[in-house]
Amino acid sequence: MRYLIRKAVILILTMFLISLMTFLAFHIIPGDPAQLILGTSASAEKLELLRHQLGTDLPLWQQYTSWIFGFFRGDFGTSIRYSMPVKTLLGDRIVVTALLGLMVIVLTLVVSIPLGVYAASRRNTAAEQVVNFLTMIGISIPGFFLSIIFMWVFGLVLHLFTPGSYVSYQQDFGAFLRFMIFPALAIAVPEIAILTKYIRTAMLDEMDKDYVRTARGKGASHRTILYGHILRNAIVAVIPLIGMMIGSIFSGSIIVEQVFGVPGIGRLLISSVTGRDFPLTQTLVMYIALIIVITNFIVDILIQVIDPRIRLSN
Amino acid sequence: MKKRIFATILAAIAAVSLAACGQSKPASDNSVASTANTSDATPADGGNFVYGLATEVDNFDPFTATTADAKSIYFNIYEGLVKVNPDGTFSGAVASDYKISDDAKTYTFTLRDGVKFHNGAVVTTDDVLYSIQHAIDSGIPGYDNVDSFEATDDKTIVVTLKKGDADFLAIASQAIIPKDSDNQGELALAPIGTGPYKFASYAVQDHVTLDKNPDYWGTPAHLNEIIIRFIASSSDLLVNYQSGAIDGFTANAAISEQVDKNSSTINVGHSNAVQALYLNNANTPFDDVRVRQALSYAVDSEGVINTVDYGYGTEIGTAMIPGLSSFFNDDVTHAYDVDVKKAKHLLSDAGYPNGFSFTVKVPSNYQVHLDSAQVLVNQLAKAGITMDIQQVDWATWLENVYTNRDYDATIISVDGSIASPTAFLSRYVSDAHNNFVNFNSKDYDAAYAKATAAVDQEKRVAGFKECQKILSDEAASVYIQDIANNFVYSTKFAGYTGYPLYAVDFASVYRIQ
Repeated sequence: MRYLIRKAVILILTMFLISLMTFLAFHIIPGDPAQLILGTSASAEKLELLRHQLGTDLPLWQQYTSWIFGFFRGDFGTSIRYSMPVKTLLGDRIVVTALLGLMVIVLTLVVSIPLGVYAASRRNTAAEQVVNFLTMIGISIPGFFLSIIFMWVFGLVLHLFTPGSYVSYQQDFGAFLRFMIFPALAIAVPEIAILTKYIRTAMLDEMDKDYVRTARGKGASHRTILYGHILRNAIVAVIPLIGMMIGSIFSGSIIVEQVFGVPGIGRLLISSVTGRDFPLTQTLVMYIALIIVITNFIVDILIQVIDPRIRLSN
Repeated sequence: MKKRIFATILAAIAAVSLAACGQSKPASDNSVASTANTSDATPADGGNFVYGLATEVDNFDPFTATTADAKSIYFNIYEGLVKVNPDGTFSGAVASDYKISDDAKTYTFTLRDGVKFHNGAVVTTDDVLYSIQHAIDSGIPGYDNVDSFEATDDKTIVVTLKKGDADFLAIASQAIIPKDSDNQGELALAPIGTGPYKFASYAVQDHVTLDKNPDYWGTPAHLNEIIIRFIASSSDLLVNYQSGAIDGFTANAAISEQVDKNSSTINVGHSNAVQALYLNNANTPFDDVRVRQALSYAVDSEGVINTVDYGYGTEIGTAMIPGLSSFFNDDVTHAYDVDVKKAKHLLSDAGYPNGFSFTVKVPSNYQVHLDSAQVLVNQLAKAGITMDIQQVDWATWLENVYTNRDYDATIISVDGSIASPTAFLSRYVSDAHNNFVNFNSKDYDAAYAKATAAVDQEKRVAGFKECQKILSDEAASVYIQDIANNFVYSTKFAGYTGYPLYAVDFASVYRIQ
């Protein structure tokens, strides 16, 4: 219980610091939203009027406190660029990015766990070398480049999908999935590579331990030892990585959504920053941070559930 | 498993190298102008057209939306009392007729019978009076010259100007909107106009849909529906077009050159903006006219056009677009043909016998300006001038370069808000609020005042040409080109017509049967 309270306090402090840092960073970089909206032909009076309407002429501390009080009341303000409530903008997009993230996680787990186990069980063979080589490539290719390659190969050459023809999940869920599998794959490839490498290493570490020899001595099958004993212990070392993956899935989706033309959180974040749309950026950053912090919190607890040793030491 | 992964990789490598081969076609066939013969095509009514746009239009209010792309889209939704023609002249739209007094001070417009807004209401003089007042309140350029305006009967609007302005027709093309429809900027998300297309729906960051206006007073549009999809960047336009996700787009030559010319029609147009290496005339060493002239001699505009624009751009040599052909002073286009010796000579006269170095701030969202900067670095190096490129994002550029004028040099295209020479030349008046190059010349101020005061068209033309001559003599900046802006669309369609200002006229496009 004390542990939970301590974690919760840290969580709130983290969120507060993130909000403060975003706010300060946003006001250090040059750029005036009013000027961006009105463009180069705006007169000084028009700019002044718009700044007043947007509230960007208020002192900094006042802008920050009014934002944070609104945030606690559940009022995220109005987007400067889209003249719509931030809540409305977020609502449509969260589902898109959440579904994308879910697809990435499923893809990653489905591919990397068998692949990692396979590579570890075929120690010192050509098969292991091939997996190692592929994971190296997967880790090294930047997401935007992979996206472009995917568009060319799967879209223009193999005609497996039509680049740029995003279909809303509300309109046609099947078509949505058929399109989204490609951006999901583009985000998943580096994740798969990293996770495969980790699982393989963790499995190899466990393989030489005494309990494996004991199990083998008791006559357990190769399969039982591999999945029932080694993988179970290896996964403890890997779960914190899955927590961190959530963060990299979000950062991956920022670029990939942009390239594939998916109207999700990532693409909205880019346009909110280039448009100096403070209420939108701040809410998006808080939202993403909250998801990452909470996932890691859950991961912490999950590890304790899986591994009794950590639970006991607390 | 293993085999399949290898097969996929091989396929990927093969595909990429094939794609690369496809792109490296010689760029020699410059006869692209129009591959589809539109005259023997049969226009068919109906169908839709998906247009890709590399920027996002997030505001459809004609009184506050300022980006060129927003204007090019709402051109289809709104109309003014008069409307620009493809040749740059004006003819009646919401007004069927107009009269201009001899001193160009009084403009009398007669409302066209039965013009309807998209909400079904008939346009009345009340709507026109509201729109004019709204334009004045919104600070639309040119409306500060309106002295009074009134409806003399239920068909006639008389606008009286403070100073005679032969260009007021261009200003009167500002949108007419229903009375009290935009007191709080409501039109931004729910535009209502009288144009051939009406607004249907908008999804943030995804698309906007326009429907054909069945009650249009003029020639109705051919296509039933226009879908404008927002694409993340101009290079993605190409992929989207090749995949068939969009039917057409507008882009510079670096992108339009890469499409398959057998299945595409390329309508070569102008961007109607002045691309230049803009120099801060208040900063050393650019406060010295000899240095500015030296740069002008060192820069080879034709070289820039051939390299970054595949030869499609138009040399200008002045701060005026060739599209405004009667005002464009082509005597100064070649005033500074490349001459490195002269450039070096001028530099040593100015006290820089060994050249100098400076930083150019280039907005990073414009690939064409970044590419131009790269070419200029090499050209200037020949004259001993070192130019360092600093990329800045658009918001930073607007604040630091444009508003605060905190820069030495920048590369940008400056467009005009209306099809009038004043839109391009007013910023060089010494105390103009948008004189971001800090140009300061008493001769220019006098010449500009004289040109704008003239009512007689011949005198106006002579006056504005004189202004351009001064800008050229003083080498206010290094004028490069009017960048080509090509409308590319599938040969399933035809009919597109270009305009001398930012406009994409969807009503002209039709599907071929």
